[in-house]
Amino acid sequence: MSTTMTEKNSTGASVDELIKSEQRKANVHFKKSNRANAIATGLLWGCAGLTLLILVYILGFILYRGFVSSNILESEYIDRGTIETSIGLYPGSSVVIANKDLRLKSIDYEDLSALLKGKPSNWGNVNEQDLKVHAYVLKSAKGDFGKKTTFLESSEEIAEAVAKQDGAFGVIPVKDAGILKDYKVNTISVEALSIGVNPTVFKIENNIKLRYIDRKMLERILKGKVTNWQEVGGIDLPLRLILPPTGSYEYHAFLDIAGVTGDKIPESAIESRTATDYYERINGYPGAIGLSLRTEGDKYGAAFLKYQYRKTKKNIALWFLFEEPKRAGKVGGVSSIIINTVYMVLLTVLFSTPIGIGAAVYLTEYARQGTLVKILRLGTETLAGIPSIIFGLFGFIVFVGYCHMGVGLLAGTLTLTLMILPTIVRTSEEAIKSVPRAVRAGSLALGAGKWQTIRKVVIPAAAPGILTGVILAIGRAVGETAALMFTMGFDYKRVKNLTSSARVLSTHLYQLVKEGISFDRAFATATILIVIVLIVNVLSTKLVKRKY
Amino acid sequence: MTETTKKQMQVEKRIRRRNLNERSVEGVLLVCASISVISVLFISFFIFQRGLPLFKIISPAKFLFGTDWAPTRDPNPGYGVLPFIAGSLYVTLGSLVLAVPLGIFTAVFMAEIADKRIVDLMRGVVQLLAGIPSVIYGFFGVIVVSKFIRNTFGGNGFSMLSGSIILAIMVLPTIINITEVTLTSLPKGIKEGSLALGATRWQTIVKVQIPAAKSGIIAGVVLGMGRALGETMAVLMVAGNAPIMPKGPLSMVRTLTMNIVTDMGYASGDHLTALFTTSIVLFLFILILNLSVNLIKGKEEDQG
Repeated sequence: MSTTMTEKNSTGASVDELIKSEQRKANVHFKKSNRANAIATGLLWGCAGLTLLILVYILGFILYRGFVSSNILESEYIDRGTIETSIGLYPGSSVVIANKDLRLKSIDYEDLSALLKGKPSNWGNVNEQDLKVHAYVLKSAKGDFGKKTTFLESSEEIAEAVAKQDGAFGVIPVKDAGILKDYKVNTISVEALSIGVNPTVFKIENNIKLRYIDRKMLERILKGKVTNWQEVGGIDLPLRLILPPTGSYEYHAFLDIAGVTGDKIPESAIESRTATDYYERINGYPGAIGLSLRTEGDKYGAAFLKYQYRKTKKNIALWFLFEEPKRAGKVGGVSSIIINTVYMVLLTVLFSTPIGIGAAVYLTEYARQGTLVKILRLGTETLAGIPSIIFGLFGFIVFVGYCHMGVGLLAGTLTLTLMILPTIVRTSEEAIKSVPRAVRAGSLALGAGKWQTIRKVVIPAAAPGILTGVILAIGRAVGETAALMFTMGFDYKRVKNLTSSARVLSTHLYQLVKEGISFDRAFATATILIVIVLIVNVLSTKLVKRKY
Repeated sequence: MTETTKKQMQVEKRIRRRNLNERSVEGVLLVCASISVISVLFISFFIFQRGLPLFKIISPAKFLFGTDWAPTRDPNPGYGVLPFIAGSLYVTLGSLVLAVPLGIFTAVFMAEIADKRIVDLMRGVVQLLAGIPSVIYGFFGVIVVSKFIRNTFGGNGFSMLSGSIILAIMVLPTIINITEVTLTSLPKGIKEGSLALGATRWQTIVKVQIPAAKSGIIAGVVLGMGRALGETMAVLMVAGNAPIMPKGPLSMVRTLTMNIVTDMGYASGDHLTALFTTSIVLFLFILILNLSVNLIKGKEEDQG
């Protein structure tokens, strides 16, 4: 008895301990595996999140830049236009007015004088609008004018002419600005303020040369916080800030940009009484800097420092969709390119849908499983895997070459048809397979023939699925580029017939980027493409949901 | 009597006509179904027909392993495409190195961890990624990726690495889709058995489910490889396009596809033929990849 008791006791104790130690071990193990599990789960979440992030970033970036153009520009003018500016035409300030249809809010002095000289005869280079330039000034105006500039007697006449004529602009003295409310014209602000500096600033020392300053640097300089050009990326040279004469245009601009009031002007600034005084100091003191109204600065022969700024404006707008592209897409919109794209898509769908559905019907309803079906399936799969550039080559040899279609709409569409055929065949097959057997059996039992059943019962029942395939195929066709480069061409005019070369959205985007024509236009075009892709996606998922 | 026979004859006539009709319909449908195969045969035929004559003036070995591409040099033009084969392979492998882990993990996440709403969201994401046109990926690469490479690693930003990054994003949907489908179609017993034996969820995923889905995942990777090899526009815009042997991830490369597109615009004579010969190389690569996908799939079906 006693021995068994002790045995029991001893084993009981050891079991307890054993259990405890095992529990401890298990706890450690659990904690470890819990931690490993947590890390692993975190990794998986991270990967999925990264995938999502990539998509959001790509779409967001392109859509954002599609709607907001944002470019860093360098110019001799500060991006600060004013409606009333002295531009030398009349004594005192002038006001620039323009026709309502001109998409222009501000213009710099250089562009303005060039336009008055009649140098660009088209607005294309100034605001990317394809309109002829018509300039109107008063007879009393002084300056350098081109032959196309019209001289009129009064400001009223100018305003009336500008309101009537497309692409017209005019300059009137500021004292007549009151009449403008009676005419349908826009006032344009003029950027005529430059940064005048002493030429010593541009010296090269130790491979350092000041090329430009940006807005932040300018603000710091005008606030008197910069004492040496080194601090803004220049050479080792003391910076001398010259204060414009009180009350001048430059003086007001100075206060405005520096963000200070009259009594808080930096003490280090060197004052000047008159304009002559002012420019003598800028031209004479090494390292001098001062804001300069361009007409004045030119008069005194000042040197100007370049100014770098970020220009943001609205990018894509409705007019972009409805205007014809000009000059390889640099000017105007994409209307003809959209029309070409629509033609391409319609023709491709017209060619590929019947063939695709036919193939799918054969594969699902007629073919007996065997070698033939295997070969047919393999063919479809191989076709789906062939790179688009090889389709392009094939189209180039066969449709363009042997069939004498030329590089144009028809050759391109036929190439695309072959490319998207597998998509349509596969989705249609799935759709037809998912039609319940009973539907077919019912139709056949009522005495309908096989083809009748397929045509009147099966295909209508499978229609949403087939449509999904067609929509996906459209998405692919719209985005295709490589296959179209040598089969459809790059002509950006509206297609006239089946053999005329046609540029579509994707090839247009490629040309804009490759030739560096305009990144703003490229973003706008990419935005249209992405919107189409989004619509295709939404439609196809909606249809899939309806099917089930 | 006569009326019934008449009617019978009418019915028989109708049936015969219908049979004839049915047969002709079947014929038309067969033609539709054969267009894919016929196209593949035509494509192969024409590309070989136009490309093979190059071997009259240069040996296949010199073409495949030559590094000198100077088709417009007169006399003695060079037609070596090794730099482009190397470029294609490097860019493709680079993209797979980036995309395969990300793709598989994302697919595992979708198949095992996420609840239905998040799975739906991720499916939409993958579908959209697959739907974005390659020219837009290229544009994005030009603006964002090449700038990133330029600022981080130096150089002009148009490089093999930029190309690989863009291609990785482009093949991601293929890998995710196929891996997810394979994982979700695994028999439930495999997972349950492993969990019942006390394996953790992570152990089950890594040691049981991924190995079980191996052939499907490999098929997805191979398909992605095919897409990366055949991709033209995106790499054309970001990879630099210099016809030299690539030296490192930051050197500019030209792939087989880029070579075809770049020279196609102005080539003529033997130069044009050499481009078709380049496309034969590309075509064979793709064909081998496609066939291996089919083999993998076939093997899987046999096992199943």
